[in-house]
Amino acid sequence: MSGRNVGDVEPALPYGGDGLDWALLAALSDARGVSGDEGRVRDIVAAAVAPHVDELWTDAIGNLYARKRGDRVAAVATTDLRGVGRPDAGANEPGSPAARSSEPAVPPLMVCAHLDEVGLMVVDIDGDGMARLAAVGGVLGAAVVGQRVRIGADGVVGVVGLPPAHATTDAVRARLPALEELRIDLGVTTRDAALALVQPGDGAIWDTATVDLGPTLLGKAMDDRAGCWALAMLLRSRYPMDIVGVFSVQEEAGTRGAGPAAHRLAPSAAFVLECGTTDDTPKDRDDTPVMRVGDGPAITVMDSSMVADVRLVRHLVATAEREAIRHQIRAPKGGGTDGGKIHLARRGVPTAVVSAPCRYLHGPQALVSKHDLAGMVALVRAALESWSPDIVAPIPFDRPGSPHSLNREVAP
Amino acid sequence: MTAAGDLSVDSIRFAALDGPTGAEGVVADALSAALAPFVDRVGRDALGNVIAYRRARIGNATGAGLSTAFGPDVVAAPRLLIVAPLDEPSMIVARIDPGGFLRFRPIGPAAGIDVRAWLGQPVTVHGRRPLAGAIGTRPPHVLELAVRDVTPEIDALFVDVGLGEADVRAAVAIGDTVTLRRPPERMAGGRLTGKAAAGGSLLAALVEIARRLAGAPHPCDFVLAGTAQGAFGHRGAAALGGALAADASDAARTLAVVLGMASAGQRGVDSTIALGAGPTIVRGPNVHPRLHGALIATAKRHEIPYQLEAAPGMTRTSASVLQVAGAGLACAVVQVPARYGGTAVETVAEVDVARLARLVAAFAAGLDGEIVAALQPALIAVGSTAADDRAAGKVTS
Amino acid sequence: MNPQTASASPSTVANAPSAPLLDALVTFTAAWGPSGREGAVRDAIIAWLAAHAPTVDIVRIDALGNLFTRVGAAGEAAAGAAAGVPADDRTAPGRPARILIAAHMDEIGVIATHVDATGFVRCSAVGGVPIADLVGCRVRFESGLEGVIDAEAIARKAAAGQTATLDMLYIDVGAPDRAACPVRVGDAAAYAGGLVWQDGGRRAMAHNMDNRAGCAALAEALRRAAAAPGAAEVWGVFTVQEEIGLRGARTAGFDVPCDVAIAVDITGAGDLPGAAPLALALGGGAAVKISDGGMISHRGVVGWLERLAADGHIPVQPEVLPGGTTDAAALQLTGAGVPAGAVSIPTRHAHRPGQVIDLGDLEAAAALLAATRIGPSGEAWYTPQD
Repeated sequence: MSGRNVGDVEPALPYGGDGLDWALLAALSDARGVSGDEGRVRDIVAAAVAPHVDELWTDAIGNLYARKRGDRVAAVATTDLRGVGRPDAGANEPGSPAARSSEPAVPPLMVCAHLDEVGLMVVDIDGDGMARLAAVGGVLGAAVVGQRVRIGADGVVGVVGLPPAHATTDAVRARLPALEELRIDLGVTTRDAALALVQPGDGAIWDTATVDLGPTLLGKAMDDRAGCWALAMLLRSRYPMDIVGVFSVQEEAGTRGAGPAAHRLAPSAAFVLECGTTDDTPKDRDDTPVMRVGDGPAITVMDSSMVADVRLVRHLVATAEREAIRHQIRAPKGGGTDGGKIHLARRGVPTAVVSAPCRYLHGPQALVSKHDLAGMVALVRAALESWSPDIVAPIPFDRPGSPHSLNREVAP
Repeated sequence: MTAAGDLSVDSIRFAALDGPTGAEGVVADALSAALAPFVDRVGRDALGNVIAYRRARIGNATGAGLSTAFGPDVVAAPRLLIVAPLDEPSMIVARIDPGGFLRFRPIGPAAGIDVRAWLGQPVTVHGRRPLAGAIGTRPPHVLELAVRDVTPEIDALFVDVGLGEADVRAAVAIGDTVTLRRPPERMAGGRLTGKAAAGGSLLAALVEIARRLAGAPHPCDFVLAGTAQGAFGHRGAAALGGALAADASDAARTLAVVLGMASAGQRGVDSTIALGAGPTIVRGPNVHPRLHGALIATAKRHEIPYQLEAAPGMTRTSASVLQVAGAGLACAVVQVPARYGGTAVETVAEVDVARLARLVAAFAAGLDGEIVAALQPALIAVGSTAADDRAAGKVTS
Repeated sequence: MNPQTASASPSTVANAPSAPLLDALVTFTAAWGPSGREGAVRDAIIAWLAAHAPTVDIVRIDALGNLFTRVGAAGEAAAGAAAGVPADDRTAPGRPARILIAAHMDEIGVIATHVDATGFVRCSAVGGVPIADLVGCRVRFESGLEGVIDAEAIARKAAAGQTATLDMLYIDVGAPDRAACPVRVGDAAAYAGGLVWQDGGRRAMAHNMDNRAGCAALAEALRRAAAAPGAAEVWGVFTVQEEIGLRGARTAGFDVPCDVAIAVDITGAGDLPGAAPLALALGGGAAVKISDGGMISHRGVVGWLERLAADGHIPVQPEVLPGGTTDAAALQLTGAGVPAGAVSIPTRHAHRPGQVIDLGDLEAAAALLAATRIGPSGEAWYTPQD
C-alpha cells in the first residue's frame, strides 16, 4: 500500500538535475511513433544527440545507433560497426568462411532505450467511412473508447466514439468493448473519402500533449520516451570506454529491434533504460507495487524476459549507495524488456535494466516523476563513469585436482 | 520438365506433393530440380531448407558494373532473398492402439490447430510406404444429442488405415507423419482448390520468378529458398536468416521478399481482401516501409492489380523471424489471397498467382540504387561539442 | 525406517547404473538451483568431475553461467588442443566431428515479489510451475529455509471451478511479521524434497529429476568418453535457464559451432492412469526424441542414435512428445542451423514435487550419450552444406 505520493518528495532535484532538458522529454512524448513507424521520433532524437556524439547511423530495421568514443581507452582501430563497405566476394553462401561473423576489436558498452510506443493501426475502412483498428503492442479497449487520436504521417484527427450515457443501458456500460468492435470516426461518410485521408497500415495514437505538473509529467508515451530522453542526456557526457547508445525499434511489438542491434555490436555489457509499470496506487490486497513512483530508479533483478546479470546489479546498487541516489529494486513480477533479446545475443551479453517508475502505462495519460528521472540519469552516468571491464570478467572456477576454493562471491 | 511459363501446371504439380512439417524431402527434391536450370547452384541445409543461388549478371560479366547500377558507394552486390514455405499442416503418429488405430498429434504447438479441419478427412500416413486412411467421424446414431455439435479433442481422434493391427505395426512407426489426402483440382472461376493449393502455388511462383530472372541481366545476387518447418515457428527460415544475417555487412546488403498466403474475405473472416483482385502487398512493422513503397510502385508501373494488406503485428510468414535474424534483414511480404487456408479445401485464384510472380520478378529485376541505398546503414552528420572535450580533458579523435 | 531406503539399494540390482552415475544422481539432486541461481549445481558438477573424471577438460563458465566441458577426440595432441573457443569452422578438412551435448542445470521454482506486513511472501513463477497445483507444496530457499504455499481461502472459493492464479498464492515461512521474515524480494525457492529409492532400487523419486537426471547422465557419459575417447570431440555443456526459455542453450550453441547437437533432458511417460496417448513407459529404455512441442529432430540424427543403440545393445524407445521442449530446440537454430536431436529419460509427474524415473532408463541414456563419441562419420546425412 503506498502511504506516500509524489507530492511528498522534496521538490528540488538533487543529483545536478538542473541541467536536464524537460522540454525535450515533452517533445519526445508528444511525437507520434507507433511500433514500425518510429521515423519522426528517430529524427527528434538524432537532432538532439548529433552535436554530442562521434558517429550516428541507422540500420535496416530502423534502430538508431549513437557512438561515443571513450577517453581512457587507447585509440585502437575498431572495425566498422555499421557493417558497410566491406566487399566480400563469396560471402553469399551461408557456411562459407567469409560469412562467419567477425567481432569488433574493442567491444563497446551498449545503452538501449526504445523509440516506439504502443498504439493502434488502421486495418481497413468500412463502406460508411469508419476505420477499423487493431492494437500495435499491448493496448486494451478501455484505453481507447472516448479518445481522440491522430492518424498517419499527417496526424489526421479521428475520434473513437462512445454514445451519450443516457442512450445506453447499465448492462452496456458495464462492459468494456474489445478493440475489434471499435471504429475511428474520421468525419467522412464514404470509403473513398476516408481513403483520401488515411490508408490501411497507418498508425494511430492518442492525441495527448505532455503537461508539466511541477514534480511530475503527464504524457502519452513516457514508455519509453523517458528512457530515450535519459539516454540522450547520458550521451552528453564522455566516459572511459566506448559507448553505443541504441535507440531501438519495435520493442512493443515483441522486442524486435534490440536483438539484431546487440548481434551487430557484440557489446561487452548492456544497460537498458526503460519506463516501468507501477502498481502503487490504492488497492485492497497487501501485495507488491512492483515499483513506486518517487522512490527513484528501479533496478531489475529478474523479469519475465531476463535474469539480470548479478554483477551489473551489484555495480548499480554499489554506485547508488556511494552517490547517495535513492533507488529501489523492481519486484520480479511479469514485464519484459529489450534486455530479454540483448542478453541472448551471440555468446551472451551481461545485461541490466534500470527503469523509471510510471503510472498508467500503455494508456493516454502516463505519469512520471522528475525526481525519478533525474535519479536514473545520475545513477547510470555514475555507473558508466566508474565502469571497469573487471566487472564482467569471466566467472572463475577451479581446475580439477587443485584445492577446492570456488569463488562464491561472483557466482550467480 | 514443364514448358517455359507453365505456372498453372507447376502449381498443380507442387500442390499434389506431400510435404509434412519436418519431412519435406519430396517437395524439396521437386523444388530443387525445378530451380536448377535457372540458378548457379542449389543445396540443402541442416533444417531441410532448399537454398538456390544465382550470382549477379550485368551484361555478360558476373558482378561487374555495380557502381553503374547502384551508385559509387555500393561496393558489394545487393542480395535479394525470395522465400516460400515447403511444408503443409500435418500430424504425427503418437501411438498405435490395439486394433491398429493410429493416435496422432499436431507437429509443433497444439495451440491454434482447428481439429474440425481434420475430422472426417481422407489422409495419407507416411510409413514404410504411403498408406491411405481416414480420420473417422462418429455418426449421429451413436452420439448423445448434447455432444453432436461439440468438437472432439484431438486425443479422441484416430486414423484408420483399414488394415489389421499386425500389418499396421509392420508398416507404421511412431513418429511417422500424416497429411491430408486431397490433391489439387481446378474449379469454376479460375480457382484452384486442394490441401496445399496456396502453398503449392507459391512454390510454382518461386520457380516462375527464377525463370523470369534468368532471362535477363540483373545486377544483384539472388537467393531463392523453400523454407522448412514453416508451420512450426518458421524454424527453417530462422536458420536461413541466421546464416544470411550473421555478418552485419552481409545483412546490410540483403533484402527479403517473403511469399505468403493472405486470408481473403470469406464466411467467418471479415476482410476486404478478395480472390482475383491480385496479390496483397503487406504494410506494417514486419515490413520495411521502403520495400513496401517500391513494390507498390512496381505494381503501378507494370499495371499489375494488387491489394493493400495491413498487419499490425507480425505477419504469419517467415518474415517474422527473418526480420530479426542475426543483425536483422529488411523484409517485404507479398501474399496470394486464399480462402479456407490450412484446410483440405484451401482455394486460390490462379490469376493471383500469376500476378504475384510477375510482380516479384519485376521488382527483383528493377532493383536499383535508390532502394539499395535506402537499406544501407545510413550515416547521419554529427559533431562533438567543445564543452564535452574540455570537461574530459581529452584531445579530439 | 523408511522401507524405500532399506537394504535394496541400487547397487545390488542387476544391470544397474554404475556407482559414479548413482553418485551423480544423489549429489546433483541434493543441490539447490532454480533458473538464474544455478551456482550450487554447477559447483556440484565441477566437484563430481574432479573426483570421478579428472581428465575431462573444464573449459570455462560463460556470461550467463553455462559450464563448458570437453573430451577430445582419440589421438589429438594433448597440449594445445582447443581449451577456449573453437576457432575453426565446420568446413575445415580432416577435423574430427564435434558433438555438443547439453543438459540444463536449473529447476523450476518461485521467486519472492513481496513480503507483506504479516510476514507472508508473495511470489512469481520461475519456469513452468503448475500454478493451479502449488497449494500445499513445500518449497526451500537457498539458505535452507522452508515454507509451504497456500492460497487465499476467499479467493479460492470465488474462483471455484477455475484455475488458481498466482495472485491468490502466498508462502508461509512461519515469520510473525515483515521485520522478522528472512525472505527478501528477489529470493528464489525450489520444491523441497530429496531423493528416495523405489522398487528395490530399480526406480528413484526426487523433486528435481528434471533435469538433475539429465545432468547425471551427461556427467557419466563424459566420464566414459574420457576413459575411452572416440573419433569425435564431445563438448558437454551444462546450461542455465532452460526452464525460463532455453536461454543458456541459445548462447552456448553460438559459442561452440558443432556438427551435431543433442540435449539430454527428461520427457513424459504415458504409463499412468488416465494419461494422454503417449507411447513412453518407464523401463522402456532411453527415449530418442522424434519431435516435441518445440522441435522436430533431424531425422538423420534420430537414425544415427537408433543405430548406436542397436550396436551397443542399449534399450531405447521412440519419443513423440505433445508439449514441452528441450535445449535442443534452441541449439538447432544456432548459426546456420545444426542437425539436432535429443535423448530423454522418461519421467512421471514432471514439474511436480515428486518425479519418478527408472534407473535402467538413466543408465541407457548415459550409455547412449557416451556412444556418440564414435562420431557420425560415414552417415549419409553428415556432410557440411551441400
